[in-house]
Amino acid sequence: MKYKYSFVIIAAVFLMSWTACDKIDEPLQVVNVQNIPEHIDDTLFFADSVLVTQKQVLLEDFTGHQCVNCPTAALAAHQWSEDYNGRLIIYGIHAGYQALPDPGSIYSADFTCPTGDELFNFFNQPLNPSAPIDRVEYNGSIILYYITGDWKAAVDIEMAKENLFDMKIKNSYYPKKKAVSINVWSTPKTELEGKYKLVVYIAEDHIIAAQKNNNSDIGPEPDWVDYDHRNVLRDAVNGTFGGYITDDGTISQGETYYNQFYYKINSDWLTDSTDLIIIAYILNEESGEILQAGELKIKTEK
Amino acid sequence: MKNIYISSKFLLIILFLPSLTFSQNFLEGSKVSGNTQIDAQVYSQDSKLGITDSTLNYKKFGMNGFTNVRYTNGNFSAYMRVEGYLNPMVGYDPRYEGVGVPYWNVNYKIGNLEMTAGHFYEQFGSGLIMRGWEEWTLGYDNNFYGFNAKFAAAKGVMIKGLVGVQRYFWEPYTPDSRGIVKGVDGDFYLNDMFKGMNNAKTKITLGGSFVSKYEKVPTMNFSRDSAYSVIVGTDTTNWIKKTTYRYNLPHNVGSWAARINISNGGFSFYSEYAEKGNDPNATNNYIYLKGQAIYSTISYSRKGLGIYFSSKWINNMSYKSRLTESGNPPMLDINYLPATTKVHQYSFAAMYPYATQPNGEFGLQGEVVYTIPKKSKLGGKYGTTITVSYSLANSIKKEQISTGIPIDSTGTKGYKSPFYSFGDIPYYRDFDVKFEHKFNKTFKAKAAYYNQTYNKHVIEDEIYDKDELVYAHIGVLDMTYKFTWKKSLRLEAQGLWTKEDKGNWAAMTLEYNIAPKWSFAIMDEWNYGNDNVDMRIHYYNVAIGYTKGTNRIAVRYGRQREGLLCVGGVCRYVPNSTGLTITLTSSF
Repeated sequence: MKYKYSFVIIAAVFLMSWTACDKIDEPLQVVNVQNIPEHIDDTLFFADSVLVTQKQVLLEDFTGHQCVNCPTAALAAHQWSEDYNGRLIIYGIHAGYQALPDPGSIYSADFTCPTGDELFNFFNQPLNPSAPIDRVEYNGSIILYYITGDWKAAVDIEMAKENLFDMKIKNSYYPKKKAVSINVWSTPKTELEGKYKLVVYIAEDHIIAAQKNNNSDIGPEPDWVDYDHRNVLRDAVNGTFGGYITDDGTISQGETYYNQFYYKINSDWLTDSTDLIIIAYILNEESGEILQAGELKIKTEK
Repeated sequence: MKNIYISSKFLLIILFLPSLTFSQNFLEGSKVSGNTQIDAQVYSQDSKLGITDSTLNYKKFGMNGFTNVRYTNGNFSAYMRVEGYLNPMVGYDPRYEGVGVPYWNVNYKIGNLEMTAGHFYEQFGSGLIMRGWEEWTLGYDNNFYGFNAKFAAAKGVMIKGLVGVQRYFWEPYTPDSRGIVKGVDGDFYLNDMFKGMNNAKTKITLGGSFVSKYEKVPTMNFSRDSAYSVIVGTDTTNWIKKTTYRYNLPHNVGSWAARINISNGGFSFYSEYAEKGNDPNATNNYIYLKGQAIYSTISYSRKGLGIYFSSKWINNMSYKSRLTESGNPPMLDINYLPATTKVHQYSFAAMYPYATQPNGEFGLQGEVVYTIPKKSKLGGKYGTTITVSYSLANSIKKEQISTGIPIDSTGTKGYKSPFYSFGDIPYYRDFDVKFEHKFNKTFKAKAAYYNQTYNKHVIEDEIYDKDELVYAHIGVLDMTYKFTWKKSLRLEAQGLWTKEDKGNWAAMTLEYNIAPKWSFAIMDEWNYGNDNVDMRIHYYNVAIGYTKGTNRIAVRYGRQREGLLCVGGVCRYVPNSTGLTITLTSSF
């Protein structure tokens, strides 16, 4: 009996251990494909660039056009950005049930996108309006809510941080190809351990469309039909979570790392009334912290 | 650190609460023992070695110390170790800086069950899939923090199980910081289990283990570029296709091992085979190949003769509780890959040590120790001991998994390697022969010759080629003369000859002992053959040691030579330094 007892225990424990192994049949998942021409055979293009040499802060605003508190938060954030001379970079992620389009109503527009949904799930589906600010914890949370006052406090803390990266963003827009070539140069200002990623998004600015609102001090309520939607996230150029700055993500102080992207623009976003914006940011893979961010308007034919 | 402090408070409660409640019984029969070691160094600038206050980060003083305390009372015991690195001595990872209790546990035995809660070390078989251990001189500690149980399930059957998280400097465990390790192991002593084998001279033990780690895996991407051309009419456009991939990383990585041990008189045979599931990690460049290892030893001994032979074949066996962990010092190792190279006593023989290569290695080691009997013609009055040993480490054979995919390509199965294959890159060779002879009551001597081949690229830089091989010949003469039973003088002369690396070396040590209290030594290692004339440096040292009872204090002043310090194939880089070292050891 003793042996039977022992072997039952052994068999059970061994089986438990045996099942504790994940066999991976598909090791890799393609998250982004970039086709970059070695030489663009087109002499007609519009170019612009921006050089970032101060610490800039990224506020990723989870919002929705049926979120009544969102305009107050967004307008406040854009005001801070002005106060900081544009060093606060903001883009809006329309995700969650308050962002869903309502066909047949004034809220029929769809501002959601797969990248936004992925970020929404990555941050465990936060309520609107909320935002990670440089994806750094404040008061024990990465997701911060506007109504608690944490946004401004966290922005002020991040703004005071040392600049760890210089960044130059350049774009060349080719109207015949409806494509943009994006070039990003990143220069670490100090020796940094770990692996670093560059993420590039496309956002559409100044979309005039309906937005729910409950604050009469800032605009009509409950429906603000001609609300100015700022920097609405449209797509990720190099995947939602970007790619390494270098082959393996490691970097050295003083080196300048160059990344190039070529992006075909959706014609629906090329309108006379809106602008297309490139948002680029650098993050530490391990901590997730965003160390630098930049914004550049794509100069189109307008 | 916070969690560690909480842990130590918790330990104090465990230790003292019973004493408050059952003070009489708790103290009766109790025993407290322990020991302390403090190594302190005061560094000085040394222009010859390029050491300045700046290179020392202005840390002119380093101290590594620990105290172990063990309380036992019948079947109950409690253990704690206080460690301090203020600042860590040069060559130790700066992340050790601080003081705390990185190791404590309580243990009790009831009937067939022994339970340990807290920190513990454990080993399954030879350690191929599980070994927790600590080596102070390396700054290596991968202890487990959790629960460990040992259960004598029946006569001849011993089952062990554990669940825990591993030490990472002073960093408390969080789900993002490292994985959880669980394992079970069984030993079956057939001679005890079956009556018919009880009295057999041949003893057989079978064993098996399973280990698994769970880890909250990070999101990790990488990119690959490929080129293509589009031809429209006469226009050709060349494009680069940049594809970003995301690794599908396993949360759970399991491993298993089976072993057998047969012994009969002076003969003993041990063999263990292990496999590990797909485990992409920073050490193997994130390939999805399963790991394999086999380790065997065979030995024979009788009076005056000992023969030992071991072999090892490992393929992709780095197994850590955080897949992104790599580099030096090695941390979060779940397993241990036994060394099949010899650890040498003499400094020049240890100048080119071997570091185990977990991504793939074929190893062999053989040793014969023979004592020519006393009062024979060759043995003399006291006998002569001759030791001959040879060890070898080589790459394993690696073949492409298919054409167009380079070996070790990340995100693939990496390569194919036939079982027990032997590759064409030599990692290490070591042949040595040693004679020990006592001439009379007052004089004895040892003479040794070592012939080593050291692949500097592989062992120091993880570059897998044979472009930087160091061939070294080493000779040692070690003589001791006893003036009285208390006073003795030891002279050690060493020479190392090589055309590679830093060239030739010579060394001399003179040691005078007044047993059991005093010892005095002067030593010098001189790199007289360095191609760079400015680097023909003397690494001199003077040392005094004093022992009283279980206390010992040793003081040394001089230069420490840079190099690798290895124990059991695990290594630490030791940089050059100059200064005063004080070592205090004590036990109670």
